[in-house]
Amino acid sequence: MTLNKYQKANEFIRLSEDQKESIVANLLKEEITPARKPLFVFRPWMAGLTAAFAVLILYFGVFHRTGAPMPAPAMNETTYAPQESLAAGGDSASALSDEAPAAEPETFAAAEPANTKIKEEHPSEILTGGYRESASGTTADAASQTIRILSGQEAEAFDAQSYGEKRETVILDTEVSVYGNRAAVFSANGEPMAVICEKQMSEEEMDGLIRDVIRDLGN
Amino acid sequence: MAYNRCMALSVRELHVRRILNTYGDSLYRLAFSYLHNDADAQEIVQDTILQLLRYDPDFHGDGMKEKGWLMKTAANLSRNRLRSLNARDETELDETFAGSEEKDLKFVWNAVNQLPEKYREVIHLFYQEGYSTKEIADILGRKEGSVRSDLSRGRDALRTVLKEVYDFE
Repeated sequence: MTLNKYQKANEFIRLSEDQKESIVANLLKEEITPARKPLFVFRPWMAGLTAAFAVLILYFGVFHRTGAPMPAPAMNETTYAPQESLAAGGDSASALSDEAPAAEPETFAAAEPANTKIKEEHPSEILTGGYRESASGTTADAASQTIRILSGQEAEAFDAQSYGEKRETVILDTEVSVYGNRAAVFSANGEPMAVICEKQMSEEEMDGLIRDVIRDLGN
Repeated sequence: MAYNRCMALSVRELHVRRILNTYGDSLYRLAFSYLHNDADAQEIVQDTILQLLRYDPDFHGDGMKEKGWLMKTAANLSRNRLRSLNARDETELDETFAGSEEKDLKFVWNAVNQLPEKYREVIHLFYQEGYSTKEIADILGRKEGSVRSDLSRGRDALRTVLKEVYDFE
């Protein structure tokens, strides 16, 4: 009702013929230069496309790289114990001293097919793994470390190399067990020291793995 | 050469006349709703058609698109003018509503013109020009939701103004 009146009121607001003529005359006098059309017009979807590219570049250029294996720490491979001694089983001390390995099948699962399978598949590959200084001590976030170890004894040698003389005596007292596709290094008193596995692991996964290893050891 | 120039002028004149006859009053009312001034509103109509001649957009024969473009341009030009002039009074209104019936309707115009600009423009385009809220959003470069809420608030505000000032239900 009121707005109908508004429409009616608007009907009285219109251009007179004189006003129209005046507008026409003015426009005909005007020198009209065609406006240049812009070469590039930024559309809203272009913002989305730019953002998507930025995300992809960030993902592949920055974040994705953090998950990539880091170069292996420098180590002298010639000091590694020969793999044959591991395959035959035995404690680390005997392995490092190149003596004939004594068979201790109850603690060393090297005779299991899983171990040999790993060795066949990854003879000397670069594997990522985790390292734990001690079961009760601080945990070194070694998930990003890349270690060139496949067997338990190689792991032992790696630790000795990487962590220097201070740990060497401890390392020499370690036992190495291979469980499926992972190897675990234990100190003489049964504390897990290092777990080497095929894939990069999170802290939680590492803990779970060590628990599994301890449980298996108990069995 | 002279013949070509003569032809060009007549084509332009035809074009201008067609635009004026078809959309002139709508453009004038829209400009008037912003500026409340005959001379300014007339100038806005002229400038709007001038922009059309300059940019020469292709509407593919769609009259609604053409009208939408013209209304959008007129609204933008009016708002720019309004900002530079800083809102004039309705000096021309008495002359516009010369007759007795027209004078009776003047209070509706006055009531609408008392509303804030954002309510006024949506009310004008919705009730006078018959645009949908989506089309108004396109013309004014706003979101459809905000046009809808402004329309509703504008109606409420208009009711309040009419009740308070004119004792009109």
